Amino acid sequence: MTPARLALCTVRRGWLRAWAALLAIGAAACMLELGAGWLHALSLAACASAAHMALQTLARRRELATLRALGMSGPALVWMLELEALWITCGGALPGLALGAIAAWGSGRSVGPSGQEAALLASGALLPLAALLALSTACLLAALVPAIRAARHEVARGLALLPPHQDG
Amino acid sequence: MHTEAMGGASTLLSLSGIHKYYRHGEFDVHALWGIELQVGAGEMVAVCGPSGHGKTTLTNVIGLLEPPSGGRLLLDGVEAAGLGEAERAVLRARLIGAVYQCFTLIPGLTARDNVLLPLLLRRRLTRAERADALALATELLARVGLASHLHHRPARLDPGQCQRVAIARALVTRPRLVVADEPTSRLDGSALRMVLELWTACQREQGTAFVITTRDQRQLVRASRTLQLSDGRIGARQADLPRHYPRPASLHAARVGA
Repeated sequence: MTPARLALCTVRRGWLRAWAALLAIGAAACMLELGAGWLHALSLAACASAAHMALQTLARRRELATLRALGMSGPALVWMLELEALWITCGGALPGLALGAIAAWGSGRSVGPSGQEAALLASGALLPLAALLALSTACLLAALVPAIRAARHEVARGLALLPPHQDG
Repeated sequence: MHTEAMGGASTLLSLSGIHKYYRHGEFDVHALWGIELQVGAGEMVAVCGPSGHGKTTLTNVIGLLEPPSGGRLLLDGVEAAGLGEAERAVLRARLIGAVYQCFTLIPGLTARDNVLLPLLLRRRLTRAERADALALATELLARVGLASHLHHRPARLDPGQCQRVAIARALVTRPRLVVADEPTSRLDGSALRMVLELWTACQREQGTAFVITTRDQRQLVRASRTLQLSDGRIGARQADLPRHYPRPASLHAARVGA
């Protein structure tokens, strides 16, 4: 079982739980498409990703401890959580970029940034790609801290937590 | 280098003067006091005792989930007490199968994938190895009575079925030692019988040793030895515990009366 497949299983099962992060990352992507400041948009996406992954790793301590107990290494666990963050980022950013493009087209604006940024990108078609890349980088970096914290959590303590249906 | 364990089998696991304590604020909680235990290949050792007296801590130490605070722990001739987390993880994956309390399954995976997980996490399997692993996982699930639940996720299984999946998962790597913390607490009579038959077959065919904490009298019947753990200490060895082991009512009375 590769970390990628485990990440995909988790994300597929938990799209609904990630709605807030998807919305925020989608909004950030939309903002980028509409020419908003990159710093604001990337900060919004990074905060959403960090908060989502922090909550996820907290809620899934027992599951993550099980994976460690069964032989998953710390780096593999971090990689799995980073991939989850990447899936969520793509899941939020792609519809956001599409919506942003439609909104920009609908309002008669040229899709893409103006001035120096436009010159750098040479073409508006490159903007979604650059935005996706920037959003992914920001979200992955933001998710790194909760992922590393989760990998360092004591396995025995994680296993000792009550399963969700016995909580409370 | 193996010494002789109880009953003449070569010693797979040897605990000598094992202590474990936890620091809670200003206090040290001493969970295990000088545990001495030898387990031979193919042996089934049952550890019983009241809740909160160190059974889970003992299984965590034997299962290499946490290091002891003092003493020697030899597993298959390897001194494991001083190993770091990464080295313990390697040894754990190589030698130990474990059933944890509350049978921790991965919610996103089917029952069969949960059973396969320890093999798949270990390394990338070739196509032929994967086919063998799938066949083994399927067979193990069938032997614990879950042949028709291979593709069910844990949310669709009842606690007893989840426990059986965890039991199958512990055996999929053909471990030398199985450490199980109250592994049969949710099993009914027929499920327990299937599990005990599977364990007996593993003992006989693969020489798998079992260290099991339990309060289940039905399970104690099959144990080669039964030890009583009380206040973190192993008490007098009880060769025939079902006869001597206090029934839950009298155990409760003893604790209340103490």
